[in-house]
Amino acid sequence: MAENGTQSPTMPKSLEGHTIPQERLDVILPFVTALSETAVRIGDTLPLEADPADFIRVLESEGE
Amino acid sequence: MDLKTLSAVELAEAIRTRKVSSVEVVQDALNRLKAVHEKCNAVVSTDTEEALAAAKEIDAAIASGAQVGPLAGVPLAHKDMFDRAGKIPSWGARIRREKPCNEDNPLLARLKAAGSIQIAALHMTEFAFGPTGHNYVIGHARNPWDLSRIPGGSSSGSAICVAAGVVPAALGSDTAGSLRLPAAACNVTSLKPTWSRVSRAGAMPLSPSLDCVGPIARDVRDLALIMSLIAGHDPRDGSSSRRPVPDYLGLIDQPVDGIRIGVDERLIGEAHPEVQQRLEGAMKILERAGAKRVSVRFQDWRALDHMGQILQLCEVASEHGPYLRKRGADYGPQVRARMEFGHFIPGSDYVTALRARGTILSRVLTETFGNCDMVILPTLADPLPTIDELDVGGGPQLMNAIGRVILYTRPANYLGLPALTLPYPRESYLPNGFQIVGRPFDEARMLAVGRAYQKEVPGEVVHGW
Repeated sequence: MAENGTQSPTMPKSLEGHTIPQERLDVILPFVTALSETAVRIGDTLPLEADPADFIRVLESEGE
Repeated sequence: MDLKTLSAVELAEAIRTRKVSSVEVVQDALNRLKAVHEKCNAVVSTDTEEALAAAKEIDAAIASGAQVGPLAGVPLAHKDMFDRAGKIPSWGARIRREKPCNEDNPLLARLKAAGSIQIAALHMTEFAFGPTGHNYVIGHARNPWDLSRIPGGSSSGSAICVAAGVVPAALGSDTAGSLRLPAAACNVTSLKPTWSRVSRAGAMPLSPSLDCVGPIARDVRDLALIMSLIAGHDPRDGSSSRRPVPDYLGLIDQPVDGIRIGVDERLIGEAHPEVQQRLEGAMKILERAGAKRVSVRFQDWRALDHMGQILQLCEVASEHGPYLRKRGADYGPQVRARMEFGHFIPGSDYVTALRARGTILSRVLTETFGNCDMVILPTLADPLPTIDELDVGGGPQLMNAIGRVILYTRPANYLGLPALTLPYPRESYLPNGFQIVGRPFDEARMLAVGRAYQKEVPGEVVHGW
């Protein structure tokens, strides 16, 4: 844990060997947190059966 | 005959009736291409000899009385992201495929079969991942109307060459606004089709959930002709729709009387006052053409944008992760910085963005499009910025700056909806444009609205090249 009580960012395995300067991490982390907050808020409204294939079904049902 | 001002439909007619030869038209286009590239950095590579040889063949075929296609002898040029047999597309980047392509992109093949002649591969933002025309690898592109201004991106060269009268039309792609933004910035038109309407096989992928290929042109009739040629199912792209393709050009003069155009005043209110004023002027023109104004509301535009970003950033991170780890220094600073974000987004958020898409689209079609046929929105939120103003590289202002440029465009990609961009009357302003966002697969009616608009505000070419 960092001193302020927040969890220290861990570099994901998918970026192993790639260096991200701290000043960019300072931009990335709050940005993706905001995206995550939206995803969680939207996710909370979805029925369990919501499926990625719904998109094609709705798109293709137009005009039928 | 001022060749640079003619549409593809008009050029094809002039060549077919031998008022001008294809060789003359192609040579004229090649001359202008060189001049425009010197000022605007619009071109990646040219096909001079192949193009002139093809033009000679077309002229000979016409002289012999042979049947020719609807674009016979017409020069086109396209964003350098499409496979071409024997060539390696640049993708606007240092990292490219290792071997030349085995075959042509199916859309290029269809356009070639219709008689068109590709004269060049055009500038694009690195990996099509940027909305302004900045490219830190092959150099920034410049706007032909004002060289200090951005031309928009990522299909920068396509919009520049159409605006400058090099070619009447060009293909580009749109993942978050990349057809619409350069079209607006360069004072031309474009159509981002419904997702799945046009094949993406043989085109560089950026974010397959969002990617669309479409045309840029000065004249909406050229958008319609090209859509008639490129739309439709392609076995090489399993996601492409099997719906029949309308005769877009044949339907373009259908009446638009009574078409209901939705206006979301709250959302439009986020644009610069000058943009709001110009949008209102465009809406009045559409009303004079017979459209009816109705009030609508997008319930949560910001959420649509966020969900689109999650899909885009995660898909880009997955595709480019291996290259970022091994060849990070080969990316330009802006694209490298943007590619990092997706690695920090939880997989569950990505799946949520995919699972929510049908539900959200259904809700938008019911609530926002419930009492309108299409919606009018700005394309760019602000008057056209300078290249220097948006030269933010990979710095801390990057996401805010880009987010403002694509404020009005990315949600249509998340929803999969078609969007037509048209230029405002230019008057004394810098170029800019608005978009008509339609219901799925409603491109024919949208093009008819665009045609009605262009009867009062015809397409323009930049003179002086």
